[in-house]
Amino acid sequence: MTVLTSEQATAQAAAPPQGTTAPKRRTSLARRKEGRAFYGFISPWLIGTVLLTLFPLVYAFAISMTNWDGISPSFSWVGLRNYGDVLTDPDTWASLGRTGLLALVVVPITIVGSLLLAILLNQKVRGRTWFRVFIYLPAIVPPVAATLTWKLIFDRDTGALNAFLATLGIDAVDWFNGDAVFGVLICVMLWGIGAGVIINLAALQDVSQELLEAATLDGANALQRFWHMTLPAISPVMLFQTITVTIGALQTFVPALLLSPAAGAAAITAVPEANQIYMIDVYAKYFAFSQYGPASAMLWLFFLAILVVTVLTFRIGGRTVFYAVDPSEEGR
Amino acid sequence: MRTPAPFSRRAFLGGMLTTAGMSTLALAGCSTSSFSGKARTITVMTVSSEVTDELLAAWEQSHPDIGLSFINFDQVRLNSMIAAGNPPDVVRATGASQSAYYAARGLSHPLDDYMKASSVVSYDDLAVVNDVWRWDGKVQGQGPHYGMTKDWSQDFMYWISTRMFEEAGLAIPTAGTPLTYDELLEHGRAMTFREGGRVTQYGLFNTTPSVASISQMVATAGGTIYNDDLSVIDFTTPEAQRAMQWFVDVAKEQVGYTLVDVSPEGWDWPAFQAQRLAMDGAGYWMTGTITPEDEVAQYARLVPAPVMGDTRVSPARAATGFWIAEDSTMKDEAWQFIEWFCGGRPAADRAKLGGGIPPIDSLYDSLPQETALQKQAYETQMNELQYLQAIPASPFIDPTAIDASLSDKFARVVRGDMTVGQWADATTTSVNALLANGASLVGM
Amino acid sequence: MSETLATTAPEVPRRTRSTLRARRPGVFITLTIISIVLLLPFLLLVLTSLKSADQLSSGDFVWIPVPAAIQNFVSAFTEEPFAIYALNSFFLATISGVLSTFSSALVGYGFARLRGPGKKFMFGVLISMMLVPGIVTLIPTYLLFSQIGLVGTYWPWVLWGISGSPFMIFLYRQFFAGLPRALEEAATLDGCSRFGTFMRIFLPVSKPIIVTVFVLSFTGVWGDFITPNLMLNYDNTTLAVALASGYVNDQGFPLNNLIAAASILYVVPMIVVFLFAQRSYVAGFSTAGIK
Repeated sequence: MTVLTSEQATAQAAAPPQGTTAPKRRTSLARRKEGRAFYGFISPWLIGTVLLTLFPLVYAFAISMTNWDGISPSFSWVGLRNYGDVLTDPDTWASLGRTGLLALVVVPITIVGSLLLAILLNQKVRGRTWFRVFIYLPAIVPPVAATLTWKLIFDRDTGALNAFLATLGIDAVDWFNGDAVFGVLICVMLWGIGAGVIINLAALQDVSQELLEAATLDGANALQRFWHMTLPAISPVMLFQTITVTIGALQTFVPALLLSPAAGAAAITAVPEANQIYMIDVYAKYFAFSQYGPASAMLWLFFLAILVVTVLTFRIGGRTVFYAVDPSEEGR
Repeated sequence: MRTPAPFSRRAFLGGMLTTAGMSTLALAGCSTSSFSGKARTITVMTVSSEVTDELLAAWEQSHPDIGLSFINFDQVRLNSMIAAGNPPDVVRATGASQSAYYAARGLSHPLDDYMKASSVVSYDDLAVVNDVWRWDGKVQGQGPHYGMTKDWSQDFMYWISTRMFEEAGLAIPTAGTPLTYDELLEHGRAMTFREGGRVTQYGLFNTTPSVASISQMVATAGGTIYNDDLSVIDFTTPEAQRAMQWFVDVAKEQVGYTLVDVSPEGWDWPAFQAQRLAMDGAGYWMTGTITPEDEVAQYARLVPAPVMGDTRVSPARAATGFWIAEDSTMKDEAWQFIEWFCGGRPAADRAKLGGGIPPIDSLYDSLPQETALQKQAYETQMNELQYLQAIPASPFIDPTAIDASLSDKFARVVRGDMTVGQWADATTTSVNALLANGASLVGM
Repeated sequence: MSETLATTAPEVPRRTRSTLRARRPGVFITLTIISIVLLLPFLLLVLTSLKSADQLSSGDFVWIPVPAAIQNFVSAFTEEPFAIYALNSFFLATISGVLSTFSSALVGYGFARLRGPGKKFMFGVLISMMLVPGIVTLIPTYLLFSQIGLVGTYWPWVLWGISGSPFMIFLYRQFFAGLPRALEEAATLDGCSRFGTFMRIFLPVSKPIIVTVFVLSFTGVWGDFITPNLMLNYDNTTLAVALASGYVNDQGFPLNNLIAAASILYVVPMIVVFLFAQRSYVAGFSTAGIK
């Protein structure tokens, strides 16, 4: 793993310079004690992860190999049949496609948009602090409230959008029927674009001002400065953000569920087809169709995909990400 | 340089323990909805609208030694409680469609012994609708009762506004002359009016392609969508496709609320009450709701279930009632609740209001027959009883799953992206897969 | 796309200076437009919350409700047991916040200042866990918990709180890693145990991170819908769930004006918490060295 590489590199860089006294050699007893202490300190997380993440995942994997319906006292093992069924089911691929489309629309707009906003907010303009608050405010709103807010706007009979269209002489549109509801989902997800702005802002402000000034003196214009200096400097953050926003888009669930015309327990069965993204499909398989096996299989396939993405991130982005993540590991 | 310590280890651990301790207190208190303080308390899972203060007071009077703890009905929660081996003692369910589902899995407890020994409910007095709760291991309608109905209606009957019918020049259907589904669509067309882009009046009641509706329509044409042992379903027969086509036509012509034009109120009554709707798709039980509304009651009339074919079939869609969990440790007390609610004073009260047909024959006389509306409804309903026939409900699947499969593709069919034939094929395939799975689970 | 220069050095060509000044009105206008677009839904929400039932369903859309139906806010409180659900939300959010803050600090300190066999692997697992969406493990956790009867209780939140959250552990880790070695040496000289060092020296110093983590945790639970929707019941659930499915009248008619009012009441505490903790919160991110 690249972790080793960067750590070794920094360890070497941080090794005591020549001439100073090297630290005393640590006895194996001390090392063992420290090791125990280390595990002591991380034990809440470690035990928690095993109990609250690993166990449930194993349990779900077990269910994925049965034909259980969530309520029968008995079940039987079916091996990997559910995985086969899910992977050959056109509905699965349809929901995957919709999820991919959602990510394809939301991720670039979010990443580029929040970067542009951060750049704008990085300027010395009047009321800069206020703008930051305004832009960040929607990101604070929890998914439930955000979805309801947009649902009210797009409501066929009482919503502001149809009222506005009426003033233009356009008939009221039923936004929640047909493919338009996908657009509403995108609105809900993009509204919180401010979330990435704070991180981008912090990243932009960390870019060395002296280097930028020097570049200006050398005759570099704004675009050149940005492309050759700022962008590389903030690229670890951008990469990390791209990954998190992508994964976030792929696992979208709550807004799609709450945009359903029905409420409460019936909501999942009434989600319009355009919004039947992957996690909605999973949830419906569990709680509308009682197909606990195939649903668990879908969950596991998604989990494996995320693992692959994570490993690939560290392989490819590797050093870059880890310098971001691990800038000053003291050599010990 | 030592920094002064705001925390000590003891304080830290103390803080964590206090939080955990407070959590325990709160956790203990927050898990139950009503703390009855009685030694014997049964848990009843039902919809919150049924739990009224009068009900609780009446129970307290008649059964002071048994406490009631109510849980709001939630299928997901029910499943998890059953999985944990700690189900509610009494569970609400729609007997017509769900009782076999639970009975076949051994989750519900047979009630015949209780019924025969009961002083509140007489076994011979049970209305025939209670047969939906019977299961003999293979067939619904035979064997011991696994639950009891609280009240019921023949839910394919519906109410009309005679004023709107007459204004459109349409003949009023009577107890002996039901409309056909085709006529329903035509009448719906004739009584739907628009102004600008908005609908000012819809002609037809709310329609949803459900397995129950399609079953009824097919049954009137002499067919069935299930095979003999209820393990295979077939939506591709000509009758079934004709039924499915009807729903598509209604949705396309927009003569009533459908899955693609959802009623903002969720059901027909508010529109019918506001006289924006010519037909209300509810059964006899609406008598109680309509009676106090003089303007609406003046023109409202209960009419028989429509037919697609030649045979009159008028099933009960729900026959809502209760079952006792097999894992319950308080079955005797649970039965006392059921017999009281379904056969005792609450049942008599509901009957007097006309809020549904009672589950025991002797209460039929309590049904209201004072106003013209009540008389008309009563007569029509009593005449309809002869056409009562059960819709087959398979124990291998929860019918809501079939409905979900049907509604999944409905929008596409209405838009024209899919034909009814394709819709029928797709639904048949997916539901049969679920049925097969259910059969393998139940068969063991 | 220009970076601000801290000071205008005399060597900077005049051309650049005036170009910068000329661009700023453009930036201001752009930011204003964007702010308006992003704030518009809030405005519409407020307007909807002030409409009476008649104004809401009237054929002619009422843009500005006059008279404003302030009683909607009262109704939002009374139609559903708002206070109880809010209390539940508050209770769960506080438990999570407190437990998470302490636990993540502990674990973050371990990663930052201690060594042990397999540490790199553990750290890799930690980073990986940051990327796994909660919902993937939620349903299996729910299934598992229902088998052991933890569904319908608040225990899952206690357990999740104690186990910390990868992202928050990461924040602490970054922060602690940046502190000078001298702190430990001084403490060890004084005879402090490792835990004591943590408690007496590192934890107090990490106040901005504590605030950040607490705010993240608190708002995370306050805003969480899917977990209480699955794990809790009608009688002990949180405000998020009540908001999503409550506020219907007897016939199941969603009362949009009450929903709007309740949404505002629901969101305001979060906004207050954020504005209040904003300075620490942003500082927390920078100090943690997210570059």
